[in-house]
Amino acid sequence: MYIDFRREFAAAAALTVFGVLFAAFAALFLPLGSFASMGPGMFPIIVGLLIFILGVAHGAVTFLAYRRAIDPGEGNSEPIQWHSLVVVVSAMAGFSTVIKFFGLIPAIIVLTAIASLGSEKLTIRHAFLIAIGLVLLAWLVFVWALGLPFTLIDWPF
Amino acid sequence: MGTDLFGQFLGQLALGFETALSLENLLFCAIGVTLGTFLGALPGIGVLVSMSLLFPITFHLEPTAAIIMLGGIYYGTTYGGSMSSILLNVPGTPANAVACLDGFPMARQGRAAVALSITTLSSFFGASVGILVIMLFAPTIAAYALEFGPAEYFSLMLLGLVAASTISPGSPIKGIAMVFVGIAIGLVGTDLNSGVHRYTFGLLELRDGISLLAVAMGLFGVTEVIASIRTVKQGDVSRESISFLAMIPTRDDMRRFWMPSIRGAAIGSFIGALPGTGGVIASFLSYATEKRVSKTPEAFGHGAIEGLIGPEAANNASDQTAFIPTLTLGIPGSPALALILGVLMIHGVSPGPSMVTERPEMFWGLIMSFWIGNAFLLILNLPFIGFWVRILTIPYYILYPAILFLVCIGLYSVNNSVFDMWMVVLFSLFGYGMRIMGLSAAPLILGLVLGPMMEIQFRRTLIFSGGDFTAFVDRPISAVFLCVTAVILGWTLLSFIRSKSKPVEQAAMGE
Repeated sequence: MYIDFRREFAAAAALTVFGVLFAAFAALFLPLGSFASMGPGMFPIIVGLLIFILGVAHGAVTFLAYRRAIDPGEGNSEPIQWHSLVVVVSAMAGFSTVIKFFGLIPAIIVLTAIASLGSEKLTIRHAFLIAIGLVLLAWLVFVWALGLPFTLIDWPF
Repeated sequence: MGTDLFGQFLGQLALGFETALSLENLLFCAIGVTLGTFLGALPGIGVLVSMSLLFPITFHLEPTAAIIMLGGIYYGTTYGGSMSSILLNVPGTPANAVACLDGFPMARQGRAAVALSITTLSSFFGASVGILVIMLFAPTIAAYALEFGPAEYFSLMLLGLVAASTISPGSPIKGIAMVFVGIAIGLVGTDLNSGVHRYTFGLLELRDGISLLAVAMGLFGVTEVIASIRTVKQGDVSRESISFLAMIPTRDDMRRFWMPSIRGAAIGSFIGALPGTGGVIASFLSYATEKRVSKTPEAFGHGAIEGLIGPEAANNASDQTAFIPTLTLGIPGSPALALILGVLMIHGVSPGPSMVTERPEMFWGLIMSFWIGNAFLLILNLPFIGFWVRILTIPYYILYPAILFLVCIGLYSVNNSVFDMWMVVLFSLFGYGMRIMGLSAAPLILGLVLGPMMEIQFRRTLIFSGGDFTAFVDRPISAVFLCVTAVILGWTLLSFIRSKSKPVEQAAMGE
């Protein structure tokens, strides 16, 4: 497996930027105090700076490896699953939105419906059966066994 | 040791059994190990995914029942994980990866049933040794740790974090960086000393910090789903060979059973109790040991039964002894135990040396429940193996909607909070991004759980010393912890630099 240098540099950049922002927030908005009597900002600024330093170090190590590499290429690490990412995030967002207004059962149906777009092997008939199964499971485990006050179905208008 | 002390010990064991045998705890122990085996057997669902999927359910239980069930899920996955290693050549959990080496060849030779039963037996043996080690050593360590001050705690936590993030494979720089990212995320919320809101950006929901549940589910559960939907292949198992009769080991198998089991259990018990190590390292070490002591090392990799027995005893023993630092010091050595600790803290229980004396029913109840849970696992895995084998053939496209459902309903059931739902969406995006960039989520969880405690101990030490940093090395125990930390760091960086400075070809530098 080849190293994907772009991803390694991206990791270094992400760590560096996160560290700087985290430390900067502490420096700007939180009292630092002294080491004998630390304010709320002291520990965060140390943590932020350490992340920044480690990010820079990772960048440097990656850069050295990149220079030495015989053929940097593009690497062939795990491909990014854009399709799955969008489907999964939309399915969860759908659940979160629907459960607030319409209750649990519609939320599960929406979740399954959107999630089923993720795999071409999952037919509509299967998705339908899964949705029914999950509704029953939700009722059995969370409502009946654990006795949680879920609104099963609701109409807000 | 006087008779009084022994009598006291027996009294505590009785108390533990009484707690563990209550109907409620028995039930949740059984549910925990069953679900653990189930999820562990499914390829692509490891211990962290299983635990993060199911811990909202434990939220609604009594603290003792919750921890017993979560513990059951944790060690149950290791039993389940060996099934897919043996039958599919795909490790159910990373700790079972070694079981593929000789377990799968055994299955190819038509000895799958024996491989499964002997694995269960050695797992049970390893776990039993591990539990005995906890029973003997945990109270002593806890009594000793009562002497620890803030400097010792801080140094020990640092040691645990450094060990956990550098021993695991991959770049140690990235591992340590992720620990600090976890600590940073753990700092969000109200500062306990001053009451100042940190990093909340005016959001009232963040006053109590970022929910551990949301982070764990996003980083482990959902990220795994995104990466697996189109990549996990369905298992293909022939069911005929797994009859109950075929599971009975031959006399020769049993003759070869004991020594590898004993060695594996010893290695696992030791490795598991150390901070930062766990089942993966224990099983690899055991495999290497068996290969070395064997008279026929060339048989390893071609179905040598010792290569299956030793590592499986080792990883189960280490699963159990991993509880020692968590329960006696309140410092988890691995991400899975960090989740268990997190759940205890959510329930208002702070594990540590005082837990043994203040909550003996919980402490001993949990330890005694390990016996019960492992006995359940023995029953689940021997007579009912056929059922679990069928589980392996469930296609992933049926599983993943159910996993997403568990994430959503589980999290929502905790606070009925839509805000938490958006947090899990956010952390799913982070988690997948991290995965793509090769940034590991496991050290982050350790940092997240330990971060707030570390800050408290760090501040306390320096308040007592008036800002003098020598306070960390003045106390001998703390100084030892810091020295060990420095040695691990130095050794890791040295070997890392050495491996990087060799003029290697690209291909050799990857995984």
